[in-house]
Amino acid sequence: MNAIEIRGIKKSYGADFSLHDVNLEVKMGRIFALLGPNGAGKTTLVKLILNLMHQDSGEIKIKDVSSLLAASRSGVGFIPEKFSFFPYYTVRGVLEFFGTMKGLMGSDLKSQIDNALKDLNIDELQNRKLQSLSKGQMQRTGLAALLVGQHDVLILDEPFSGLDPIGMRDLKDIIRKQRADGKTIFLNSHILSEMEQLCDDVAILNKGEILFSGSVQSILEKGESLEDFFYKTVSNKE
Amino acid sequence: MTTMYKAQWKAMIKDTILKELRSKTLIFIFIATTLMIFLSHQVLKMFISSNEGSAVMINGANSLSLMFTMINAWSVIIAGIFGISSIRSDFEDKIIYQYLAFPISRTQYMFSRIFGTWILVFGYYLYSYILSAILFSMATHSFALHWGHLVSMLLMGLYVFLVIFISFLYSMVAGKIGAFLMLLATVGIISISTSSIRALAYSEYFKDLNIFKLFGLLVYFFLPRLNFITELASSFLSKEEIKLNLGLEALHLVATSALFIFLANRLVKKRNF
Repeated sequence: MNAIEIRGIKKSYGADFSLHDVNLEVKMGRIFALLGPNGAGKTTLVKLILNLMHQDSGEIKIKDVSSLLAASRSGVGFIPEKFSFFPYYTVRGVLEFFGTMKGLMGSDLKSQIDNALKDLNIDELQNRKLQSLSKGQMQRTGLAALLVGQHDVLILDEPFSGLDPIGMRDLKDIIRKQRADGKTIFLNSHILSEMEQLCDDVAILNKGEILFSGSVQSILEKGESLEDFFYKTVSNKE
Repeated sequence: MTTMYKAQWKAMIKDTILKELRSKTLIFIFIATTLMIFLSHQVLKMFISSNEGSAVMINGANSLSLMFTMINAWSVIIAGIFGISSIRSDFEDKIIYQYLAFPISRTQYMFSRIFGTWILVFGYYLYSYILSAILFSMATHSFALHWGHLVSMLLMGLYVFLVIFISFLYSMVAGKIGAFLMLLATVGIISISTSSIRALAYSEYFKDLNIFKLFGLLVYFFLPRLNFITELASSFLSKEEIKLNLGLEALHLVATSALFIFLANRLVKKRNF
């Protein structure tokens, strides 16, 4: 069983944007990155996986459950590129809300919140309201909210944007720890330097088409860096 | 209903109430309403003292019924404002993605937002009602409430729910002001079509048919007749005889509301976010 399976997805909207027959498999317990230049269709694909948008044709399954069903998201954590939530919530309040919505209760909820606050180094901020947080603190709160819950799959949309070097390092550690715990991580990014060291598998999406899908190892074995391979693949198709 | 499902409903409804409670509009409306009720109370007291011993009979129930009619009308506006903002702010703050990424259906999201808003608006309505009743009873030295008020309150609760529902639906397709204008137009059109078509005999429905009459007939048959609820509420308030065909009107209201809710649910499910 794959963590995420995308079969023959087509989606067109706007004047000239579309996804053309996208097929993709994300294996369980791996760190997978969807790479592509701005406007390639990465966010659209993430929205389709989460059923925020509807495809024209094709099928998406999360752990063998159709993405059209709410149950498909029961083991999924998601953080958008810029995490935001209502400013009157405290940091702890946000985590409580996210945990409850993901099915946690009682002592489970409390202990997961405490762990997430500690992992993200924001336990001192827990009673602060979101409106008083800096951009970096807000992003860490979002990541903490992502970690609260019983997930098998974590989806992170452009997670490194807006993070300082320490935040980036912390995030990479968290991602690796999640994989070590058997979780699947789906990253959507265009920061290639980070992806080469972090990911097991990548797919390259450009202008709505998957140009490559495979392991990072297979690219490195050819003697190429991920950055060079990406550049070559995308420019050949231009 | 599983424990998780119940907890999600509770959390979403609480989240909706918390969101709207912080709204500056609500605070303003709350203060304005309280002042308006106190002012009406003072005016009533003055009126009573200046007419003491005169032939003018004033009692708590009559003057309160007038006040309640005003509160009913005002509550519709408030239901519209908050029905629209309940989802619109999720769009504007770009938070809707996070809600819909949770393991909840769009139907659950929609109804939890609507119920949360309804609790808040109906709570506000009850506050206005009870405060008016207490002050008017004090001013007139008579107990102002009667059982008709209770029935009227419950009916207005249903009315407020439907108005919130329509507002919610319009806020999916238009901005705040646009949705509010669409709501006012809908309530107005339903009101005009109900009062004009109801006055006709069945045989006159299709007589002298023109585009306006056809439109009026479509609204009359296929949209919930909101007036029915307010007319019924007014009858209970003023203890007047109910002249409507209750069974038929109620059946029509249930059927058209169900159709409306079904279509709204389809729209929410089909929409791309």
